[in-house]
Amino acid sequence: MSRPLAAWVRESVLLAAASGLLAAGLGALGPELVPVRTDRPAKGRILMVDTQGAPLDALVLRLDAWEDDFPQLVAAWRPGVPIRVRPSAKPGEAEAVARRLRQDLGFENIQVEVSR
Amino acid sequence: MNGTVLGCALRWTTAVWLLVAAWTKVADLRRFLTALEGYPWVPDVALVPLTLIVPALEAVVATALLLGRCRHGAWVLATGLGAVFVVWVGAAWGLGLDVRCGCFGGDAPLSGVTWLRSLVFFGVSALGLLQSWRARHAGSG
Repeated sequence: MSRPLAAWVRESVLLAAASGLLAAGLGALGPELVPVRTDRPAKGRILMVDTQGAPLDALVLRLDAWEDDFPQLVAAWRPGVPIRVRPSAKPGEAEAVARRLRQDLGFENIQVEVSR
Repeated sequence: MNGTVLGCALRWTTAVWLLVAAWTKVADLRRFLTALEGYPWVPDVALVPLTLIVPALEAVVATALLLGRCRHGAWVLATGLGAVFVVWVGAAWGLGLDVRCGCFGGDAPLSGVTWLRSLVFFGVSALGLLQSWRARHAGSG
C-alpha cells in the first residue's frame, strides 16, 4: 500500500475508533434504548396484548377503544412485568399500541412480536 | 474560485451538515431508534448499536473536518456515509416503504426529496474527498 493511501486508511480507522468510543459513551449515559419490535420468543412471566379483539391468552387493547381497554390492562399488569403486543394485520398498529403503552405506563419493556 | 476557498467551503458545509444531523439525533435517540425500526433490513440486534454509532460517527467526522485533524480520513468517512445514505434512502423510497427518514430527527416521512438531499450530501462530500486528494498530491509532488 502506498504511503499516502496508508495514511488515509490509518486516519479513517482512528476516526471510526473514536466514533465507537463516543457511541459507547452515548449508550452508557443516554436514555435506555429498547426497540419496539423483537423477533425473540417470549420467555417467563409476560403479559400478552392483542390489538385485534380476538385474543388467545391475551388482553385486548385497541387503539380506537383505548379508554375502554386500558383500565383492564392496568388492573392485570404488575409493574416490572414485560408486555408483548401481538402483530396486527394493520401495518404499524401494534407498534403504535406499544409506544402508547410505553408512554401511558412509563415503562420501556413493551415490545411487538415480529414473526420472520 | 481557487482550490483553498472551495476546499474550505466544502469542509464547512459538510461539517455543519453532519453536526446538525448528529445533534438532532442525539437530542432524541429514542425517536431515531423508532425511525430505524421502520427499515425491515435492519436486524433487531443491530437496532441499538446503529442508533448510537450513526450520530457518533457524524459528530466525530464533523469535528475532525472543523478542526482540520485527520482531515483526509474524515473525507473518506463522510463520503462513505453519503454513499450509504444514498443507497439506504433510495432503497426505502424505491420499495415504497412508509418510514421516517430519521436523518435530521424529525418525523417527516421519507420521500424523493429526502433521497435528493442524500445525493447532494454525497456529491459535496465526494467533491471534498477529491479536493483533499488533489491537495495532498500537489503538496507531496
